[in-house]
Amino acid sequence: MDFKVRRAGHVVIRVADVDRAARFFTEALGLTVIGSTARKMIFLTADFEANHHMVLVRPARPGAPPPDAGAPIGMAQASFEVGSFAELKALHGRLREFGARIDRSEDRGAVKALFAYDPDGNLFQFYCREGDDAPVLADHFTVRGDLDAALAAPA
Amino acid sequence: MTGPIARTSHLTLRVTDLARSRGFYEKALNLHVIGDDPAGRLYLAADPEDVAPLLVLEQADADAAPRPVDPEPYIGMEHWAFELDSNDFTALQAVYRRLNEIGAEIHHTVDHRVTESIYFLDPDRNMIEIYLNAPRERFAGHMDHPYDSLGDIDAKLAAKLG
Repeated sequence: MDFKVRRAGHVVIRVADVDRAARFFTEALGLTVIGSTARKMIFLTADFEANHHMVLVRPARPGAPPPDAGAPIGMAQASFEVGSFAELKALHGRLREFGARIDRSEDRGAVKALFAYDPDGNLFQFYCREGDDAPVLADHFTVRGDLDAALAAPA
Repeated sequence: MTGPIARTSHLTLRVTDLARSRGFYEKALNLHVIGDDPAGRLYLAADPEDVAPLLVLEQADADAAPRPVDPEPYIGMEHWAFELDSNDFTALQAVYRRLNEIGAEIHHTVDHRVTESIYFLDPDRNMIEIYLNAPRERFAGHMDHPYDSLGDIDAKLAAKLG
């Protein structure tokens, strides 16, 4: 019996304030709380039928330090795909409205990406596939410019 | 409710030793390097012909701070989960056998009712979960909290294949 990975499922994040984190993932990202436990683990997803949870937030140890602001070894970034550039624009608006710290945007041809931090300083990439050409691997890293003006333009 | 997020895509790991981590994920999860970029990052996916990564590895600077030894109580990403492309428990047993063969440190195993999961540590002590989805009828009566811990599955994983 051999085995293969089908897909990425979810990321679990330890946070300083579970309620604040849940607000970020629901209000800014549009995820839905699908369940929670007595230990304040909150499960969030975009679609329970497709993936029972995409993000789980749970409390960190009280007084735990925030993630290292430098470039420490470990989980550097979690990436999520968004349905379209219109939705990436909408997400950009929601992140701004929430007051999230936006890191940068990248036009990589068939892939358009937006990077932002959650309230605990974890970095997320949100990207869509856009345009006539199917993305190739290089579209995941070849930066041709930013999308700041396109993201900020009225819908 | 449909928000903008369509799916979980990939994880980027900053690693102590790029070659060591590449070898680990190729063996532990049968991932394949599908390319690299000018910065030296490696892109890994389940199939060699894939054009979207499941995992990106980037070399950390020599003076990069190590991650906390115990990932659990600290603020930050605690673990990342990959779904197995099978509904057959023998596939999860095959992962378990592979992890043991390569000497990976298994953190714990658990029956979550909605999934059966193995949690293991990579060479930088990042915790990774690999899970098998349970059939819907198994958790249909527990939709308000389908994520219970029903105990470990160590014996079931180690059992001889039927």
